[in-house]
Amino acid sequence: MKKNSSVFHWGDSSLEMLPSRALLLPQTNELLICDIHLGKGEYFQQNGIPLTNNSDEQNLLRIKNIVKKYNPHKLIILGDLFHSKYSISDPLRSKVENLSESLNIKIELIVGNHDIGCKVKNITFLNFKKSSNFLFSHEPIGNFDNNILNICGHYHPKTFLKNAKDKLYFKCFAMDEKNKILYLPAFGDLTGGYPCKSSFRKWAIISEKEILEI
Amino acid sequence: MKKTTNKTSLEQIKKYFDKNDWEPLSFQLESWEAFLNGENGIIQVPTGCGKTYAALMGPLSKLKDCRKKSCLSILLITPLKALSRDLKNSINSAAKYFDEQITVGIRNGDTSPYEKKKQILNPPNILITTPESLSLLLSNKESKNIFNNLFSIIIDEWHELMGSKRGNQCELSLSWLRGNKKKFQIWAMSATIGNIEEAGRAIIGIKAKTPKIISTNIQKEIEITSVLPEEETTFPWSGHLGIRSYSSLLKKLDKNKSTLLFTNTRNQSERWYQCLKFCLPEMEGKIALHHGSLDKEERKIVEDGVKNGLIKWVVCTSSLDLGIDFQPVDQIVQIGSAKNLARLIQRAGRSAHRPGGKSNIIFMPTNSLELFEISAMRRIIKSGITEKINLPELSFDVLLQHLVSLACGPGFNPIIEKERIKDCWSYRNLNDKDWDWCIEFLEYGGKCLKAYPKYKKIEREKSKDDETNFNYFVKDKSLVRMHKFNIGTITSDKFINVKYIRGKSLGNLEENFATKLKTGDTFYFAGKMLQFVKIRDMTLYVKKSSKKSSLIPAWVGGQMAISDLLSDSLRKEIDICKDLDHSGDYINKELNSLLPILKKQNAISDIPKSNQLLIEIYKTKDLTNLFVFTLDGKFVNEGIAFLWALRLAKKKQSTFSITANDFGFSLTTSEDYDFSMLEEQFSYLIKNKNLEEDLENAINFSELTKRRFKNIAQISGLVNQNNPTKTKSSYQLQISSSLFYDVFTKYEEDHLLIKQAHKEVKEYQLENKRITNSLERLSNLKIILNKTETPSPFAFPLLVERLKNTLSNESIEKRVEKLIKKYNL
Repeated sequence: MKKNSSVFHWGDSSLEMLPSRALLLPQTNELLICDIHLGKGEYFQQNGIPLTNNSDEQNLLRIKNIVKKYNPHKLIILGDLFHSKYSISDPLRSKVENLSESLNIKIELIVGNHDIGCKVKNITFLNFKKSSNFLFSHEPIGNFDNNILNICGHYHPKTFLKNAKDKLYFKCFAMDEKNKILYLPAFGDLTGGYPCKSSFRKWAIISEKEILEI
Repeated sequence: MKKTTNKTSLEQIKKYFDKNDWEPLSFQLESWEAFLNGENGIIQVPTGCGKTYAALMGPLSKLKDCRKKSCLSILLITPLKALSRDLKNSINSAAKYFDEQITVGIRNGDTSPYEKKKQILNPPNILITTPESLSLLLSNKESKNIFNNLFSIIIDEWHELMGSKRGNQCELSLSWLRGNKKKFQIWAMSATIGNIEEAGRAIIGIKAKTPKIISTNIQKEIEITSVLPEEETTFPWSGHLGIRSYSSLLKKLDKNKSTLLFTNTRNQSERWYQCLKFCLPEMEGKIALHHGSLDKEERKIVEDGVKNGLIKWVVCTSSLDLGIDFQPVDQIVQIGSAKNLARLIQRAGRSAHRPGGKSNIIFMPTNSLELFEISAMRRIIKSGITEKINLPELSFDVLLQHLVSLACGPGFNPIIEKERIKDCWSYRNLNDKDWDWCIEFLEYGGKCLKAYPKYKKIEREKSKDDETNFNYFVKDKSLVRMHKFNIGTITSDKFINVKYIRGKSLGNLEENFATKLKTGDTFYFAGKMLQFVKIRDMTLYVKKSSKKSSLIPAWVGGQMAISDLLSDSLRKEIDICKDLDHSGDYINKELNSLLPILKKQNAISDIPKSNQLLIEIYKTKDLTNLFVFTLDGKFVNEGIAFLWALRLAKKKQSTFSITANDFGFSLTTSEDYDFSMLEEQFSYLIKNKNLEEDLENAINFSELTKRRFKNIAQISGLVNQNNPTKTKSSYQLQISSSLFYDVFTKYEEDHLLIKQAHKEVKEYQLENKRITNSLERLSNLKIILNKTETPSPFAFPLLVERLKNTLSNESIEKRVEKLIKKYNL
């Protein structure tokens, strides 16, 4: 059934999957996103490929909008906020550094592979983060306690819907139930994706406002 | 004085022919004289008539007089790497006659970096190369000096390059050479084509003196024999590759004669190879498979095997069309329609490599209606009409690649270069606005400068003697390296290598097929049953398997439509049959064997006369099918189908599934849709007004352009096919062309490359001009609208096709809505 959001339960916590490619944890009032890849356009430009950097603006605007809408206590970014340490321009840096104050929110970044070497103020950098029920990381971490769900980014999961005549791909949330890993969709507009395993449980983001469990 | 040297040169060439006991043909003499008189031109003769000697002997005799050690004098451009080796051998022996010291070199993708470096320092007198390697040579800092002594360029199989962007690439390279090195003569060799003047213009530029055109009246006789069904019922009506009637084919073939069996797709060649090997166990080792996705080594073994006679039969694709200069082959088989005449003639030509020799080809239809095509082809050949080959025009992706190549090497001055490029036939209509866009795109990344702050590809450098003048260069060494690695206009999907787990490489598959395999799955590839073991680093590891499987990989790009000329003749063939008379003047074996099917067609529905358009409506339990037999090529039919779907939906809302083949198209919709309004709406349906606009709205136009854009993005250097180093930084540069497409359409409306994708879809895929002509033609036809109880023989192939391949004319939102239906329970 397509919905405006999908709720998933883990122990006594609930997780709300939003079509804006973010995960809301209502109990702790935390909002999670991942894989934004800011500065990707500029990284390509430096390498002689003319990709516009207009999408950074869009991505930041979308972050502002969801924070305003859900008013969380904290924004946790599960890695790859930036595309490369070489492509953080001064205007981009100041926009990111102002984010916390202008939105009046704490921001934590779990360092992703693309973030290595990036340094910005007003954001707390962590390697991973544990809470009672969850383990937040960029890439999945194996071997942890039974009752803990690993929430991570990195994979840019995608899935498809098809019938006899047609097939379309969408970004999705993907749950690896066997290994207890929940993969979030890439938040950034300028990101591709990879099809995920058929054994995963999937929630496809079919439009900006709708999500559908498959 | 000059006259006498010409005369002695000519005498010398004749002597060489004498020595070999050859008699010069009149077109050869004509070519030698024209060259020695300093002319440029194009030699148009059928394959295997000795055109290489016609083009080459003049330059060779001149080379004798002015040869300097380590100076490149003659450049030979050939479309296929595989041709170079044989070409080198034949040139070598002729060259040695004139001067023992003449050196001949090959430079293409297979040449080692060491060899290439040696060629730059110490160039051979004659260099055999491909269009891609020539571009690469221009991107070399030394390129200006390499060509200092060049006096002759020869292009082999120009008709083969002309039909694609490789032709554009060639033209651009030639324009630069013309600009930098004014005195050289250029000659091209081509098969017989309908627009030879244009072909000649394209090699010398639009300003030069009219090129000499040398044709010959040597008519190669081609005999086409068809494999006809033994009983009418055994004949497949559609698809299924005709494999069921293999036994009729085998009866016509001699096991001890060298044979090439041409198929249209790699998938088909694998199937036929499997079938023949199974039916003829005694041929083990004497029958082989050859297609473009097999490993290079594997292919070479097959080629050598044919040359030394160990291998008798080869099942192949167009990979052997031009291919290796085999000795003439005894038997040629074409499996399925060749779709255009040029291809059929080329293939038939492999059976007789002597001027005046007769060539034979056996045609094996894969569906009965293809017999019409063969009958039509035979009549076209007899009448001597030839097809046109059109050079793509204003390909900006190729232009951008060329400019970057120059900027990597000698640099370019935009004012001078613009004039050179406008001298190319296919860029003669380049306007200043588009040129400026191209320069801006390379220099700043795009029009919206704010969005490209870090971009730089080409940079200005003031010229030393004139402050106001400047040249463009690529200064970043890594950009130069990346660019050189990706020169070329042949693009491909991502391929995955296939290897035995113990190491031997078998060839490559499309990623799409590979990702569908699960461990333990068996499939048939490279003529072997293989079991999938694992995928690591873009390599698919397999082991031999004894299990049977019918899974055979398919490669995208196998689709072809019949040519304009052929579709026209096809209609005539059907017209000939309208009376169902076995004794008519024009009835031949093929048509005769089609008569039972035509009788059935006539009983169920009608056979359209040349002034009629046949439309059939066939209802099943829950669907209504409309069949329209326009008898145009597949892509034109597809375009008209989309158009009608949109226009019908405007009159009465519905969604249609669309299928098309060379004969016609079908629209399928819900059972309550009433197509009877068709007759009164006919003039609206075939209206040429608003055609472009309607087509753009009708088709999932963005889907088609996105697919086109993929190649454009690769050629223009947005997406790199090959990375010289697989470092982490190159990983960070991975991006799909569809993301580019989305970004460009969103932020830069007037992007020239997006516009080009639109143009290519309209002109080459939907073939707008052909659609316009076709609609015009339809407007003069009388409609026969038949409601049929069972699908007619003409409709049947479309009905079968519908099950595996349909396109939809709905919006993304609508498609999503339909797709999620089953989840909304």
